Amino acid sequence: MELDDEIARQLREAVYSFAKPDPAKARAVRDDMGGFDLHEWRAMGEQGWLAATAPERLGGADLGAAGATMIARPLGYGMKSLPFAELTFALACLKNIPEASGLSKRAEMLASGHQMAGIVRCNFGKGSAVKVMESRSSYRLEGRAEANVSGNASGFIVPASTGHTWGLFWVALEAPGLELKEVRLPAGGRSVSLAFSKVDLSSDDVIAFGAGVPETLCEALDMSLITRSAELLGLMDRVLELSLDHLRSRKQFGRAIGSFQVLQHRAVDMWIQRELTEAAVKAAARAFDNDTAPDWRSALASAAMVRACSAATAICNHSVQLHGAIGITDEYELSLHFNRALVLTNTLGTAFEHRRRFMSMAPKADPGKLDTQQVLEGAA
Amino acid sequence: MMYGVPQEQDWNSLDDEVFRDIIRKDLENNYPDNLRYPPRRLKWSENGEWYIRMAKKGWIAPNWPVEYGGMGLDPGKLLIFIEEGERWGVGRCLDLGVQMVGPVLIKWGTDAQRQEFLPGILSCENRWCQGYSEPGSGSDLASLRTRGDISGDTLTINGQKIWTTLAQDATHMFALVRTNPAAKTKQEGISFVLLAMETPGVVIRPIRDFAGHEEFCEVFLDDVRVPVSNIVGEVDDGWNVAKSLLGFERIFIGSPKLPEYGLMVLEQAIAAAGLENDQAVRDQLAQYRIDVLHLSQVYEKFAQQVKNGDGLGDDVSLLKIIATETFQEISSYALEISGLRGIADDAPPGDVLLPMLYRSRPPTIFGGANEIQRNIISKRILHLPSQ
Repeated sequence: MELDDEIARQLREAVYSFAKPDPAKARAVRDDMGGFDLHEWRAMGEQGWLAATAPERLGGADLGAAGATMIARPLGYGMKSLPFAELTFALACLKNIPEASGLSKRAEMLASGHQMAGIVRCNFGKGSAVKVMESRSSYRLEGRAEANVSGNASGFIVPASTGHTWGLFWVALEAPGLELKEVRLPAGGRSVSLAFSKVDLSSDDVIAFGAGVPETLCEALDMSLITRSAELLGLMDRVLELSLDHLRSRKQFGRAIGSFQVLQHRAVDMWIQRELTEAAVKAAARAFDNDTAPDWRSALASAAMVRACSAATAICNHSVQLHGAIGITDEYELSLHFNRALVLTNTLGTAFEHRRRFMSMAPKADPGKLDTQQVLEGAA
Repeated sequence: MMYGVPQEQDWNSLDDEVFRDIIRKDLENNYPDNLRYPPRRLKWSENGEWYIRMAKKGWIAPNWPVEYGGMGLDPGKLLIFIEEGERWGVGRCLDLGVQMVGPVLIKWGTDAQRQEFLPGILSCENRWCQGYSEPGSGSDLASLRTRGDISGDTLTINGQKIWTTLAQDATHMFALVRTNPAAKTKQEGISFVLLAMETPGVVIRPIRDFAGHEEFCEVFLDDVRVPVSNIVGEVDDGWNVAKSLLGFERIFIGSPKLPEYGLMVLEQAIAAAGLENDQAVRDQLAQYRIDVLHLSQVYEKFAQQVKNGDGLGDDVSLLKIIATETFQEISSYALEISGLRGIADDAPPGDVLLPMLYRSRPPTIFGGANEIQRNIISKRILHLPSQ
């Protein structure tokens, strides 16, 4: 569904209003609430924002990647620790679930914010981490995986492979044979190591099995990458804002330090990376929503992630530097963004992994660009 | 008065893709193969024939209004026209008459000036070079000191210009000269003047660059006398005249085509070195491909502004910064992975890599040095304070 300009503007305004930067709140969430505020999540659910990317029959608004980025960017700006990108992955996996299936109800619950799902992280070409043995509509999972867990996950979306065939499964938190080990990340983030030991599932737990699963996973990953890139873009917006404010107000040697050319040029380079990220996110979202050929769609999504990760890292690093010593303190707001950036740039694949994915999805240059043969023959 | 050649049709009424196809086919069918993607600027002796052909066709001035002999293209169509040229590797020759002098005369000139100078540009009989920079005035162009002294109907010019591209091929020059050293600000005392290179007192000295080419020159002006009527616009208002040229043409200085070309050459160099499966190389290549991809995505944003008729803001400077610096990085890297064969220019890949490396150094300096571009963004976009 296309968002018209006025509705898009209102949506953006509303989410920015919800996600005003509140460092004290962010610290409370980090230190006292285990890194996640369920009330905030539920509030987003009530607004219908969590369901933004779900199809209408699951209670969603079907706003596509464009809608997802409109929500994610303000969340990043307001330093919210909310697994919205992970949710878009889950909803994309579940979007074709038949209405009769028990999982259809679960999908609705995820979209409304009444339940939450952990998602197993992509292995980036290293094959499936979890093996599945299928026998007469019975499935047994074995193996290990890493997952992005949201504080209150009632289960996990797990891809697994027989060696020939892929499946996508819902594994409940209490499933016998499933062991969890929580890993603490900066800024109150959480990851979880999953161990599957004879985890038996029925056909009720199957999201998809057989042909089409790799494509579904790719599309879900792309959606979450674009969403995550938009979240990082919002983070960059705020860090850039803090940096420029500091440059204009901090005085040394009798003048604002922003009048020193070295710092001016550094700020420009930070700004350039933000501009590039914005263009990359918009292009990737547009391609996603316009049914671009899957490989190129994935290439653009991974390219956006490369940009978002490296730009956010560079902007945070430069921001620390130009703030001087206060940039290293926990008390100053920058610390919340710096630490959150560490989590965001490492939990859906790194710049390094996405460069690799980009090359495997787009081994040749974009069709329609320069005529390679002629370029090289004519150059002599 | 009739200028140039009448147009075959009203280009703006065509669908964009129909127009693009017409331009593309014409270039593909007619542009000489051996002149595609020239590793350096071409001299008039090398591609003059092509420009005369374009002049006869009426395609020499795509950016001028139809009533002055141009194609009258609207911004969107002009972008397409230039993009197609870049795509096919059409070399840009001394077209400063088309790009700068024509628009200046159309906007600021008198009818007499237009009648005197426009036909020569349209026919390519006259070729123009730019007399702006001086040894003491580069980035700080407004500090220029070449004098223009008015006495009666005569303007006498004394001074020196430098970095004048292809002055050897030019028949004319447009120059900024200081006609009022006592003006309140340095910008206010400057006039925009046209002169013929054959005027007595004009001496050209080509400068050899570190690639061994002679693409730009010093031009010495020693009591060069021209009619006062060769001043375009008001006396002492030349800075405004020159500034007015910086319209949406700024988008082209940051065209992705330059680094895209670099990327193509890099991929060939990687293949020549047998490094296609080297993981480190693949990783770096991925980064450059993504850099060029994102540059072209940002470029599209500005192209859309131009097509919408919104004009360009100062943030367009970022295109120039990214395009030129990415091109430099790619050129250096291509050399790095090629080793000695990359700098031996008598055989592949060096015959392409070495010229490309040389070509990658000037663009961060010319067209507004990248330091100045950053200053512009800092001041006008980020609103950071000056001293």
